[in-house]
Amino acid sequence: MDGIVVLENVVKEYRNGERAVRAVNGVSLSIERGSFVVVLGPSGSGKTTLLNIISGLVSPTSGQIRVAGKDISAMTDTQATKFRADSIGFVFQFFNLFPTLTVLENVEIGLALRIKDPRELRERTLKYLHMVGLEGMEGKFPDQMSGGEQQRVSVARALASQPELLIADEPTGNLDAETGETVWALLRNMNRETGTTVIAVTHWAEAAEFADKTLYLRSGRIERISGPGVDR
Amino acid sequence: MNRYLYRKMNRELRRMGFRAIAAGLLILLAVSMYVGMGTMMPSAEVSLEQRVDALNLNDLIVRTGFTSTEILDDLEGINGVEAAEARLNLASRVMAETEMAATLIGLDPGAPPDINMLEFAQGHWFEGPGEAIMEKGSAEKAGITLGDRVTILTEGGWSELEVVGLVNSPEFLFLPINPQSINPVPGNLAVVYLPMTWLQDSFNLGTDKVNEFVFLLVDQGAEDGIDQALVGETVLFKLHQDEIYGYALIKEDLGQGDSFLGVIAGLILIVAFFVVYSSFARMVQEQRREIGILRALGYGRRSILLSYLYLALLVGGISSLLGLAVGLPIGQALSDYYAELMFSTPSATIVLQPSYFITGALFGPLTAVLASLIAVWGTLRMEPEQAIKGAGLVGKRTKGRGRISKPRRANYMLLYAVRRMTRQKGRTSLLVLAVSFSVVMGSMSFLMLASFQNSIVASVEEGEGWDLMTDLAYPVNRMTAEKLGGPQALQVVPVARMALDWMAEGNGTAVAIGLDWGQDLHSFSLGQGTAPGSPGEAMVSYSFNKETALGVGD
Repeated sequence: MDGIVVLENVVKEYRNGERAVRAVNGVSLSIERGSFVVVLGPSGSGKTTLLNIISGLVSPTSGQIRVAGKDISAMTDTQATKFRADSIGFVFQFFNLFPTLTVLENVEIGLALRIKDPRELRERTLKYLHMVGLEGMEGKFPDQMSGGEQQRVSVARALASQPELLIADEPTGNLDAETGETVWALLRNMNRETGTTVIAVTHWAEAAEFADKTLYLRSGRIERISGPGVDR
Repeated sequence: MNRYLYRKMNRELRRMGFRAIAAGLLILLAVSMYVGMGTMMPSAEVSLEQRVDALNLNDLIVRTGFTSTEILDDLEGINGVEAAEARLNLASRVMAETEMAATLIGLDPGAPPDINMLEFAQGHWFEGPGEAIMEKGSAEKAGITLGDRVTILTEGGWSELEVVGLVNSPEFLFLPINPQSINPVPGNLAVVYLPMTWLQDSFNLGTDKVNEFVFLLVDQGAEDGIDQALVGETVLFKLHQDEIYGYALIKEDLGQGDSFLGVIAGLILIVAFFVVYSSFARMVQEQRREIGILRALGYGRRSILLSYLYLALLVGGISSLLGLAVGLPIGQALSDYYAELMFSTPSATIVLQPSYFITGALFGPLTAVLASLIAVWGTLRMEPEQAIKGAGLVGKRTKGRGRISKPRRANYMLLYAVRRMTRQKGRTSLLVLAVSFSVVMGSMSFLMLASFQNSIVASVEEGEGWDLMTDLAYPVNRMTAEKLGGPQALQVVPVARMALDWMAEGNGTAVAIGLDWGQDLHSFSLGQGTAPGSPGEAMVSYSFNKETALGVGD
């Protein structure tokens, strides 16, 4: 299989007391570079765990994962940390902005790991804040913004470092339907404009409309994959 | 740590607000109390030494039988004697508001003494006949002020004199003792300085008679020369500087106080450690999600750890330094209070021992860093995803299943609190340990002091029936002794007491006490053997016996 994300027979087991629970149960898949992938499934189907494994936030129990040509299942913690800084952008359900930093600083704190030149850092940050429609709000703190605006900051933070892969975990789970739809559209646009591969997990079935490929998960397994030219 | 983490931590500090301030204040309070208590006694001791040096506290006092002043020339010429003065020291009684025991010290009226210098709080040196100078503390106790008249018992009866000076003397730093006595006279001794000639006349001693020599010594070896010079005299006792009762008592008090305060100060730090540790650990744990986000963004463990250590160092370090800064004036104030109370002078200097400084300075940073280190490291060891979810914030689930109880009325708030405590075992244990430790140590201190006080009171009540003991420097007959008792004395028991040399396996100075066996004011409990019933028999005090290993029949 050839793609930016390649999973081969990946398993993740959690222990629940004396019982072992397989959150991800032998998943194999390949995601093409620049694509927009949505992962759907009921609660407990393993969507978030799959996403965390792909992003290196969680180590798999077994199986092989290659992201951007790198085998992250064999990485040390330090290597995985550097890999996340260089290659992955995150958008979380609860935005996860730092409340004590301004909008500008929330974006720059992630980008600063890759760009050392302050002028370049500032230019890049402003560019992405402009792209998500937040120009003029650089000095605000997260608690002075709406949920939708906070999620835009989160998107700008994730994309400003120009990662190869953007991971979005329930990006609209904490937003009203109208704002949620705007965020989905924003993610799709950014995907098209920057060419960043996006993998997003959601409960919202209509998100599939934005996707190049949709994965349906159930009990830790891929039940179905659908999309233009793909349906199995 | 890059500038964004630096900025973030500074703002986190502000966000923590009250709790950061509370933790900082606790460190400040603990360190300041620790430093204050640790500074108090050493500062007071230095002040004491400065004061007794400045006032030339004698190195040696030798009490003799009445002898001629001519011997003073020989004593001054001894190698190693820096200065020597002769004086009279007689026991008597004074009448002011009440009658009380007194030490009468006769000095050369020509000039104030150079040894045991008198520091005038009020009044002046002798200018004419009929004048007396009183030690300030004893005058205050007797209700005597400058210009009052004081009546003194002499060989010829009661004589009235005017108090023209109130003085502090290094010899009577802590007053309620009789310096002639091995046993203290509780709180009612008057010290009266009089012109030597007046005292000699009043006690019919002759114009050149003295009975006490005070010395400043360059080296202690001079004492052999003094012994030789006085070989033809009756030496009643010798008193070295560190045996002067008030001085020795204060020195002992300072030593014990230093140890006691050291323990209290240590306890304060230990209790504060538990609370600060818990508080910091809690603050860091509440940032678990943010630590997870930083990890997700690509920040390494080291830089995250450093940022929290910076925060801990900032709060702990500043609080500790402020604690040191506040602790020094506290120490100065405590030391001033003590010095004023015990030897009537403000503390001249402040002494901060290096160990207290170092411990105080390091306490805050180390406690905060340790708490942060453990809490942050615990989070950093997690998978970032766990940290982001805030795992552990609500406590781990206990093993097994919760029991489903029968339907009944329940106090859910209490149930919640109890379950939370049992789930957060570490924190609860720390809290319980800190509280138990404080309670146990506090209770032990109170119980120890109370039982000590009770045992003293019980032993005095059981064995001692007397209220007042007066030593006379000169021998008196029974009739005179009974007259000394005064109108309010229910019973007077004359006792012969002398300082003697003793010799057994070693030798030394002993107090020989001669008593009528029928008296009931000073009872004994026999540990071994029988009470002496015939000539050639003696009874030895238990504490003395312990030191000499004498046994019954020796």
